[in-house]
Amino acid sequence: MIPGTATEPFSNTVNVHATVAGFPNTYDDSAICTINLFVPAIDVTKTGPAKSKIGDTVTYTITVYNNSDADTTAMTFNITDTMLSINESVVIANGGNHVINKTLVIPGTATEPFSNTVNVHATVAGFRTPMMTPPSAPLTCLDRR
Amino acid sequence: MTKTGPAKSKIGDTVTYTITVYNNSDADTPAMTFNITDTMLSINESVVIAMAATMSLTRPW
Repeated sequence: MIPGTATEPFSNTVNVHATVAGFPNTYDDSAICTINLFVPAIDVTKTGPAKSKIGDTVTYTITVYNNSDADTTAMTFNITDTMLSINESVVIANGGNHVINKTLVIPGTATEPFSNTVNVHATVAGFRTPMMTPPSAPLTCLDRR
Repeated sequence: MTKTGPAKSKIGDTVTYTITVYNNSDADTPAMTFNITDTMLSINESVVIAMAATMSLTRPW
């Protein structure tokens, strides 16, 4: 497995030392394999009003960022947010972002602080290891007056 | 000798390397023993390869 300490380009060498039976001659060769390491990076933010109260309609803004380096191939982002009924897959180009605005009526069962989470699961085409963001959970303070 | 792997990868991926050793000697050359070493892949083995033959090693890492 390519270690976290690997640097770009990631090169390693194999050596061969050959001898001929009955002769003192030796022959050496080596070969280097160089792998272009790409660096995928993603982020997500979720914002909403700092304060609100039960029954209010609030607007949440989710922004998903593709902060990968230029060597990273196309990435697909699966964005899920149970409370906002979001479950969508999008391709975001390197350096790009995807914004989702969604409204919600704060339910009568809401408790203080009222928080909810969006999760992002991203994959790089042709590679198995996924990337996931830490959950983003904005807090909306409920004003109960 | 050649060593090949994926053109692109990223930290955390398991990659597979293929090492191929060629004995390109002419027909008059006696048997040759090849000692192949690759520190990163923990390879240290000796093999006899016939004239005009090849030997390949494939290792995931």
